[in-house]
Amino acid sequence: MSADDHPDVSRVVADADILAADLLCGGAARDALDVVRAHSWVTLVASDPLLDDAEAIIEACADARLAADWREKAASLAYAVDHPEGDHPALASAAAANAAHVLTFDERLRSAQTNATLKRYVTTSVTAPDGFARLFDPERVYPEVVGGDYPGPDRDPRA
Amino acid sequence: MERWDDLFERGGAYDVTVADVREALAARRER
Repeated sequence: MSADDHPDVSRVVADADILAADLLCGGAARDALDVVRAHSWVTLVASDPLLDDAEAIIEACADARLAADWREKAASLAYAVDHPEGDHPALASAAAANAAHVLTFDERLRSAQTNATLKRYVTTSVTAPDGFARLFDPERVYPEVVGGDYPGPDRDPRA
Repeated sequence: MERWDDLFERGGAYDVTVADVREALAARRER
């Protein structure tokens, strides 16, 4: 893969902090992932190590039963990818799927240096979840990804 | 399978903050 490859604007990676905050905190993380859940043509991408991290956070902050139930649900939503052991789970998931978006609360991941490093592999934007809500406009993206006029959300984001 | 709404209701009962989540992830990844 080269930096010339166009990223898939319909593919989104949420780092483990966003995944756990979606479940436990709501707010910007949930708003961002609701956009993903509400559109069948928008794909959440995640590797097993990424889901492992989120499950561990949920277990640490809440309980193991909730973490396991969340894992089952999240795995049913996400498109699974593999990457080398030891790679950053969110960045490597994005690279594996050529995803255009990585959502994270981690300022270090969003730094220019990290973005420059990441762009060697894939032209991905690393943003905070509130930034994603501003950046990702389904109505604008739909004609490129699916074609035709945007029909609005086609899934219940809370089902 | 459980609805997202129901999972969110269970998750919200723990009164977890974004700072708690970030701290837990940092601790895990520093290991």
